[in-house]
Amino acid sequence: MVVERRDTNGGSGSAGPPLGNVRQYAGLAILVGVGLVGLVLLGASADAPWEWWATAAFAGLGIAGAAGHLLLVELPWRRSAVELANLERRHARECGALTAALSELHHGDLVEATAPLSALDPDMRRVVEVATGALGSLIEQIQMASVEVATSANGVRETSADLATGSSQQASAVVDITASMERLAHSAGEIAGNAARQADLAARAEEGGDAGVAALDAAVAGSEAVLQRIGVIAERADSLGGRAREIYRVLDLITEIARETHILSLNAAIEAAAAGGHGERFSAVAEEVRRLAERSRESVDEVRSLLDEFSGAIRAVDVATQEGSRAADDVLVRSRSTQGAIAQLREALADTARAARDISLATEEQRGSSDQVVVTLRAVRGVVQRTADGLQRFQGAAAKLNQLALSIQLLSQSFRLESRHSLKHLASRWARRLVNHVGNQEAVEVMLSDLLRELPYVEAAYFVEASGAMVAVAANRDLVGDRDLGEAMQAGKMYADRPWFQAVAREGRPVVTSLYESLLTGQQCFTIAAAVQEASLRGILGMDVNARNWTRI
Amino acid sequence: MIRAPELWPVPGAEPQLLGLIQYGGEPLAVLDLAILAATEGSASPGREVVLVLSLANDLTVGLAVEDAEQVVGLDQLGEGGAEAPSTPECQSGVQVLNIESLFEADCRTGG
Repeated sequence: MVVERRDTNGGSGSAGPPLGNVRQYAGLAILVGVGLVGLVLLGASADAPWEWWATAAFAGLGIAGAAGHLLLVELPWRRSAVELANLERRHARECGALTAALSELHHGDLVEATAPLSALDPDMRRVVEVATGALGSLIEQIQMASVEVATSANGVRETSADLATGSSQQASAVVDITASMERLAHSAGEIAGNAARQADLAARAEEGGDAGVAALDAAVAGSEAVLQRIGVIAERADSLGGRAREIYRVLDLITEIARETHILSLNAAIEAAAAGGHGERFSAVAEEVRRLAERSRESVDEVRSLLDEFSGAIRAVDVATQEGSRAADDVLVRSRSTQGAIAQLREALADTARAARDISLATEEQRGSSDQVVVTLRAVRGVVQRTADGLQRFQGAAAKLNQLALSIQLLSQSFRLESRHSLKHLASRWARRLVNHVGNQEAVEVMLSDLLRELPYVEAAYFVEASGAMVAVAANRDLVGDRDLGEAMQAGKMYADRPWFQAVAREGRPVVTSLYESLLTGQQCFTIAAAVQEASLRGILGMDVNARNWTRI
Repeated sequence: MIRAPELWPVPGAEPQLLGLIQYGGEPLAVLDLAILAATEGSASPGREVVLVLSLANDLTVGLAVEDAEQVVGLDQLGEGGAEAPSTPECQSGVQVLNIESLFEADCRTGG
């Protein structure tokens, strides 16, 4: 039982030879012991009467020893040899299965690695399956983690780009604000100076207002005096007008008398003429009277003329006095109005002076505050600029992180897992589907289109026959747009020189290439290729995955 | 000569008859000399002096004139009659009217 358990536990390789030796040593010891006992019995029975008995005992021991050797040594030995052969065959079979599984594991094919495990011992198979499953789970987690890392990195990069743009705009805005604040500080200084000068001017104007008020008081008093004098002049002019009117009446009376005298002299002259020679002297008197009357009329006319001029002058004086009175009234009214206005102006100037002083003080404080703001803004500009630089470094780090995640993804994709995220597994599955349609180009194209619908992150899928000539190709228009496939991918083109083709053709295993520039989009991509084979290689299925969409895997 | 007497106009009278005045208790017809002498076509105010004339046929009439400046004797005029000599007292020309013939013509016209 102990030997079998050792064999069962895998110790057959080292337990076979010690077990045989023990058995050989045991048989040899029995034979040596029987021989020694016989020799002792033969030596003791040479001269003894019990020689026969000793010979018989020796023969009995010999028979017993031979029987014991047969039963205890030879039979178990033979049985052990058979078991050992069985164990060796089983060991060889399990070693082959284990080697095959490890070979698949060596090539990263965790799906095919479980196929040979059926030949292993259940415990061993369970252990290997658990280890393979754990490895597959670990790889799958690495794949998922790389996708999450890439997604997060993209988010960080986009956010950093937005923040960097915002920071740049903020830096620009801060520069503008700083310039504005500097201009504001300069303007505040000028305003303070202007306000101070305005305060001085207002103070001087206030003093001038005082002088103006005094002058206006004097002007009002003078206007009132002028008005009184004008009143006196008007009264006197009116009195002179009255006298002139009396003179006119006197002149009218004199004129009337002169006319009567004139008529009287004429009648006297007529009467003198009627008297003939007696009336000559009377005629001369009448003529003199007429001449006196004539001179009286002429004198009256001259006086009247002078009186007219005098009256005109009086009227002019009256008009002038009236106008002067009105003007004096206007001057007085305006002087009083101006007096009030100057008083208000003086108060306004006093308020202006106070306001100007307040403005000067406030603008001085504002200039100081503006200077502090400018200093702070310069510091803020530095911080914003450093933030923008840091965000740009963030973008670079995020891009590197994305690239690193893609590298991890590509490394993890080098394993084939029983997972819908394993590109090798998916490619192998679609390759098995294609086996039945090889030779039917239309059916192959339909399958390639189905593949693109099921795997939307694949930008192009194509089937290359075993000779290396492309048979069919399908492009994902959602990713490549309206680009013409052109010479990059066309039926009949040879792909036998491509590394992925050669690797698949040589190994028969799916491969994942490293990143390269797509001939179709000009962007980074990688290819998953899987062999389409039955007994022999029928062709190779290729799938190009755009590096910008790999997180959708 | 009467100066500015109170004049009463006569309704329906000829234009040259300015009206009647009271002279010596009797009405006296006053004619406009300017209209009579045909120097003006219609009566105008300002006839302040009335010359009272006693004509040959014992007719007394008043002639209204603007003014009377001087009494001039006919003998002082030159021989031509109608031509007025210049006098030392009167620098303007004097034209002598024959009042009698004036009224005669008027009477003939009226007769």
